[in-house]
Amino acid sequence: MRDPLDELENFSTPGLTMNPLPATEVRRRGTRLRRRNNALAAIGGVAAVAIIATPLAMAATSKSTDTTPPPANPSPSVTWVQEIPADFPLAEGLPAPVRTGSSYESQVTDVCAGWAPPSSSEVRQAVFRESEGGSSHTLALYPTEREAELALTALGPETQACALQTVGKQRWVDVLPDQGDQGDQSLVYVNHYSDAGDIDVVQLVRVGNAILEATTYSNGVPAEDTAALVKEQSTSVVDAMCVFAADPC
Amino acid sequence: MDEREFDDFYTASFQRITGQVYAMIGNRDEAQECVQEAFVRAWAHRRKLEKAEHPEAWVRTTAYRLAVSRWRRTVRGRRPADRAVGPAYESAAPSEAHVALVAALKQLPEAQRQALVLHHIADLPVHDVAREVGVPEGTIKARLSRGRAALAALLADEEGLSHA
Repeated sequence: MRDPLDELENFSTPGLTMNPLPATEVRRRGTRLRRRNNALAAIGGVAAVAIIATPLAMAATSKSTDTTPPPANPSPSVTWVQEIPADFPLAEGLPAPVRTGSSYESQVTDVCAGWAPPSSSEVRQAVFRESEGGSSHTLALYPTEREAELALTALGPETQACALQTVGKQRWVDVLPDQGDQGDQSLVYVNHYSDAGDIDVVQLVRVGNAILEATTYSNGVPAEDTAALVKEQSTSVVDAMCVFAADPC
Repeated sequence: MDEREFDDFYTASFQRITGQVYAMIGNRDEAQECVQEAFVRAWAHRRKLEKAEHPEAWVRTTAYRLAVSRWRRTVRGRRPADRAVGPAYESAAPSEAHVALVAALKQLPEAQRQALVLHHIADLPVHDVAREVGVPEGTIKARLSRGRAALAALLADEEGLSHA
């Protein structure tokens, strides 16, 4: 009988050998990745400053006791886009084949109530399904930026409350730290819904009056890594959402 | 880590880490692609890598996490060509014993397989395996013990079948 330890310790990788990329090419790709991340962080930082600066400016001139967040957009003259362009690249980043539609169907197992678009809004959804899960991108337009902002702002505390209520339970929610580098506003949370380690990561990003929900199923991968992958794969869509911004691209 | 140090690190460790990840996941192409991607991320996050006590462990862990992600597997088919590794070429075909070992490893529970590979192929002491995996040393010892026994049984079965 063969000794498994000998077998293991003499393990090698014969057969098909691949020629790794030159080190210079690996560094070039790494530098490109880093620049992209930095650019996104810079855009998010400017948006965050705008969001913070506006309430502070209003607080300085008003004694209002209204607890709802002040509008992020101070300009009443903006006309918010109410139709998703036909060529909007919603499926970008999703594995093929992708099924698209103009209605919303939740693709995740939400431990608590999650996000859903308002019933009257313009919605488009792109879904990749496999036998054990899948990934999706859903884009919804709100009448104004203010309404989109309120919807996402309200969901933050609700999700945090859900996370606190489900600590130590078999099904629970984690809210991941906001990295502040996605769109005008973002929220990322994880539904842990089975003993086997199945998770659904949900990333919500707002740009102007549009909210993108990007989701994916995962198992055996840390939630933070899965969230990083969701973010990576939705980057092109978030970039394209600039058409819904107050100052559109 | 400057360019020269990174290049030296990459050249010295790419094949070794690829072999280890291959043993963990049983798919050579996937292992190579994930290790390549992990090195790209390593350069992008080189300040983090500088602070890592064991840069090779950082790359291996990143590559392994990439590899085990079902999500990643599903996007393989449409990954842009420039993300692939360099062109492949044929060398010696794997021996029957090698094929049998990889097949046996794939039948083990993931945690046992990971412990066996890190300890016996990556040659890490038990406490380093425990740190890399993020579990107590006792857990690693138990996984190694059960993994060796299971592997021996699987190889014996395979040997019996091939003799029959």
